[in-house]
Amino acid sequence: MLAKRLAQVLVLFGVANLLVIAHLVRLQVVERDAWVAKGEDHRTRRLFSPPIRGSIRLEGGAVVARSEHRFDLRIEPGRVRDRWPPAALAAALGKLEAKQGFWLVHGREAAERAAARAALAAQLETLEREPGGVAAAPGAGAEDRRAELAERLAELDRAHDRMLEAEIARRARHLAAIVRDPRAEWDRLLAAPIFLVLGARQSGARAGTVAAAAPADREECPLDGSLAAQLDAVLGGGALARVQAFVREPRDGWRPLRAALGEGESAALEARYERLAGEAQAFRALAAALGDDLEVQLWRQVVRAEDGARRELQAAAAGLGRARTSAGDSLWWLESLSRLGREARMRCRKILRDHLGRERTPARSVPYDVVVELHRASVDRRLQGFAVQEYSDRRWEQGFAPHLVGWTGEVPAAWLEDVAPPDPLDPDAVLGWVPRLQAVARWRIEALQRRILSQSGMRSREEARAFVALEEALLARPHVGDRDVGIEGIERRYDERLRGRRGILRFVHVPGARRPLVIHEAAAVDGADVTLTLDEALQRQAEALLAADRARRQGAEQHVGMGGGALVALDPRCGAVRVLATDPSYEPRALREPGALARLADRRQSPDRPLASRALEPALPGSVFKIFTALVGLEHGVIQDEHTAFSCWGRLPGGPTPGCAYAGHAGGAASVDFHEALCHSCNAYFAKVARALHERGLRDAFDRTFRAFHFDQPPLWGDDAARYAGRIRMPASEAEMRNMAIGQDPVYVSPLHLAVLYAAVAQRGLWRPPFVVEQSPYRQGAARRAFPAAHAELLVTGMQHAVRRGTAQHEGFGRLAERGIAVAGKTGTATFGSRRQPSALPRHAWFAGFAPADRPEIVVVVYLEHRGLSGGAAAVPLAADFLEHYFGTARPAEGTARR
Amino acid sequence: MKTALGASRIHPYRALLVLIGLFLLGGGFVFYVSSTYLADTDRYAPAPLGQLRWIGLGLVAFAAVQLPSYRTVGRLAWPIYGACLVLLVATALFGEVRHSSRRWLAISGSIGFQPSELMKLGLLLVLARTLMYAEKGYGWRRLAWPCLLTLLPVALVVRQPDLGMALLYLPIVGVMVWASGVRRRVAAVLLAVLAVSVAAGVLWGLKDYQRARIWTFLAWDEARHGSFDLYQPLNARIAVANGGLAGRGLFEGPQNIGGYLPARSNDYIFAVIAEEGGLVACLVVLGLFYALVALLLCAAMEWREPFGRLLLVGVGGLLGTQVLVNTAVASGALPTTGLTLPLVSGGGSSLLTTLLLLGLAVNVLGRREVSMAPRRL
Repeated sequence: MLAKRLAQVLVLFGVANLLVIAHLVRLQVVERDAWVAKGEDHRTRRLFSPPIRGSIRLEGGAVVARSEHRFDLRIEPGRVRDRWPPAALAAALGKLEAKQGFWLVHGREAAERAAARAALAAQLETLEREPGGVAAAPGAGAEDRRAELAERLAELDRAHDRMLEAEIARRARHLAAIVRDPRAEWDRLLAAPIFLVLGARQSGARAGTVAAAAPADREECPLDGSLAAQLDAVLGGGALARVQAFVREPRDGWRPLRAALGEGESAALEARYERLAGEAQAFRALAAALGDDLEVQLWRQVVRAEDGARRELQAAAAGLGRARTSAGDSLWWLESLSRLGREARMRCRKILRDHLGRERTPARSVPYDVVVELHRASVDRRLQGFAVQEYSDRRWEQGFAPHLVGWTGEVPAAWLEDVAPPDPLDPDAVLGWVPRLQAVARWRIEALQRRILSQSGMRSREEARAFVALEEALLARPHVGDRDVGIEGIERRYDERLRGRRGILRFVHVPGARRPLVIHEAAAVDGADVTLTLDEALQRQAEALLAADRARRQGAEQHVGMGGGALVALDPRCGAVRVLATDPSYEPRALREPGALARLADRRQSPDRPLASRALEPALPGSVFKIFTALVGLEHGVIQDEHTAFSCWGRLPGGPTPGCAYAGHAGGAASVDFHEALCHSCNAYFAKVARALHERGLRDAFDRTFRAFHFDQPPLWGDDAARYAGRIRMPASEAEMRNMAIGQDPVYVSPLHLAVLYAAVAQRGLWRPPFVVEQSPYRQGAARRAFPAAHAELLVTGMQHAVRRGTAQHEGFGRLAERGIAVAGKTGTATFGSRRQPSALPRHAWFAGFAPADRPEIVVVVYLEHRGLSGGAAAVPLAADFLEHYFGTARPAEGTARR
Repeated sequence: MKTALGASRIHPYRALLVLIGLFLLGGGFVFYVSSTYLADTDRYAPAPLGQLRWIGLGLVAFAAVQLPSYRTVGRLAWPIYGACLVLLVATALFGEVRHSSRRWLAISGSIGFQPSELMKLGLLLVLARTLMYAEKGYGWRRLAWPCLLTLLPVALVVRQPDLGMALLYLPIVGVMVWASGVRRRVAAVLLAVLAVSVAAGVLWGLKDYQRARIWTFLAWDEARHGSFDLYQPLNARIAVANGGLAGRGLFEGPQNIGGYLPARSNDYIFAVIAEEGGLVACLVVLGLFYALVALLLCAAMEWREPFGRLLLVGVGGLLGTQVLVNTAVASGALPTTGLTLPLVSGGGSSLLTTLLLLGLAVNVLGRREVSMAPRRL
């Protein structure tokens, strides 16, 4: 029976073994390709280079938004090796220096100066080669010219040296600060040697003292004298000289030591020295690459700052000698050095890990070549702990139409869902990821090692091409970590055009190979520009006018702390938007500060809604909407011509809506004709038009025409700052339809779209889509006849009446009329609540119009949210100012010429 | 080979055991060398020489164990167990912390020893000793001692923490108790209690990282957990799949040479074998181990003397379980535990213990005097 039990155990083991074997077979035979692909993907490293985002410009060429390329050098302290391979670092730094190290250290100023110097030197050379060849200075003048050039050259050199010295002194002070408080300054400490080496080398190259960077030569090539003196001054008396002396000739220190200690003890110490010297050697190589003596000094100070280390060192120093002879002193230095060789660096690394968090970004704006070099070195494991982050940094021209231009930011997580590369294990994925890439590589690069490509799953060139297309499409889409993806406005709407395509560098570790193998490399393609149709001067003028109005309003007593305004101007002849001003405004760059967006978006903290794009946002239009009512009335024959009259008693029949505001109609029953109604904005007239429409069963008349004018579309066809250009609903009753007729409650339209409607009137019935970007597909959009020209003429005449003698009278319009520029316009005042239930909300003030009335070239809409005054009182002066500015400064000759 | 009593017949399994063991040892060393190669420095680290030293030491121990009769060793079971227990306690008190667990007892410098490995031997001996007099169909009363003797080291090892090792002790005991003829009902209850307590332990008793390992493994959600928690099993699976049928060839495995396999010369050596030797090598290794276990258990079936039989059963059960768990982990079928592949993995303690155990088994089979009785089957 026991044997039976053992047999059971054996069978159990056998079954378990078979399960393991089944798992192995699954991995090694059945699912092998997928797992191998995953493995290749796993071992493949990618380095992306972001493209420079395209600029947003104005027609004149002025730049509204542009991007700068930046590379940040990051240090991940936890990954920094105990010994930075000096050769790798020196190579990277050498490259940095050879390319644009100068740029790194001294920035644009130095580069400009270098360019100037080169130009001067070239001139001087020309002058010396052929005296008298300089056009402006024949004969003796050439001599003066040469002297002047030489003097300017010398001055440039002196300036350069001064700058270098200042820079080095600055860095030295910084280093001194580090020495005083190492923990707080660790990240800068890590960056400092790099800068210092550059500074020293630059300076040395100019002074001709530092010859080469090879460690062997280093001891014979001490720091440039002036630099050493400066450092010495900063770091404390003679410290640097002592270290330098010891590093140069350590054995000199032994003689007095032997004398002091006797033969036996001295021999023991010397043996100890030999051992330590070996360690110190390695460190000296490092120091040679990093700006030798100073680096030693720094590390020593750091060690001293660490309590434990200080105690150890003090104990070592005390144990050394009866007397602190100079030899003992030297040995103490040696001890420090050797500790630096190993323990101190371990210790420092620990401090880095414990106190610093994960990453630091000490260097910015590193040139691309160096980026690639550093990155390869880092991936190569030659230079661990260094990484380069590359990005494109957006800058916006101060406050220019921010509501339209929008802003960029990091990719929202929600956008990324469909951007992730296909899962190579997913059989439904369009194409596998890595094996195919390798086939592309084989297809492109003949010399690839067969070992990598042996697993490639690509069968044909067509497949390869399809893969390339997919890869490029993916590279063109946003990616995690992209900081420059359009979030709002034009930046978002034209994001694809602006963003460009990322570059990619892919490499794989090949077994046995020392360096990673590059399997795919594609350069970044920068984004294309976008040109706005806005007129810079007009836009600025409009923004100034709105800001001034807001200032006036804030002075007024009834100000409720909310409201803003918008001014839209467009060219009715083509539909190009010239002005799209919204007030109050904001600074796009400020939105990148943490919490700024939330603060501005919060109604309680920012009651006047600075983020709202009022020019694109539907609002209650009031009487400016009567043009629309009139068009509907004309279309359905309720209004037949200018003589069609309705009576007005100064109030609306049977409804709660406010009565006719015009005092002339208040006295009693008056028969008001069409022009009179427009001129004085007679509410009763248009309410009766609505009633007539309602009586004829045309309840959906407003709705249909509303759609015909595309009020139901998003403004600018795709900018989703606001979802629709306007809102309307089917009237529930005759009273509601009357309300709609005079632009009250269930009607909302955006200022921009109102301008489009008025532009159609100005163009005598030809309707065009507006556009704000030259590259817009609507740029060439054909005009469409929306209503007969005769209807438009009726409206234009009525609006001219309003400007000349009606609600929109203004002396500014009068001045324009004197110059032969007739303005046609309509005011609007949108009220809240009713007579029975008055609302605390102040009224909106509107004006919409165009000029010149006979051959319109500009349509303007002014909208002042909760202004508290009527359109005639608040909006008309603003519009008049704007039009005067337009015809006065923009086209002074045309206006008079037309006369 | 003649025994002390001059008995003539050498047990036929004995030579086979030694041969298989040596083959695994030698072949394993080749893969061990491969697993220490680092491409980016073009060096072997740690140097294979150290492992050779351990192998030498293990073989000496193997030979040394042959000298006394296994029953003499059996008489020392209690002192050995006690010494192991003391070492475990010492580890808990003064042990060296590596990879955030206190498993090692420093010998000198970086050379350390894992008493939990040696405990396998102690536990085996003492269990065989206590169970050898058990009559067929025994019940709870007789189980008290074995249970207590097992729970003590299990508790100590769990505290280290070394869950894999602790769980390894349990099947050994199970197999030995089962083979010693415990009553079926008792065995069933024991198994149920064990299952419940393991489940409870997984739910409440585990450290966060252990639980995370298990959950991550079960969910296998690479996107969510990144490659951190799944790093080891994921890379192991990739390495195994890389091997295919015939393998990439020695020193050619990209996962191995590139350094992507974690602990590749110890816990994950089987993944290296799978990558470089393919399915064929895996089958050979698994087959040899199974043969080893089968030999031990078959020998136990016909062994009349109870202590020797229990020793054979224990060694067989231990090797079988350890190989199964290790290969399953190293091919990514189970979450990571820190178990080695006997005879193949690098690491001194494990190798030494395995060789000692095998030596003991060979010793049992070498003593003809107690297996003179006619075959049972």
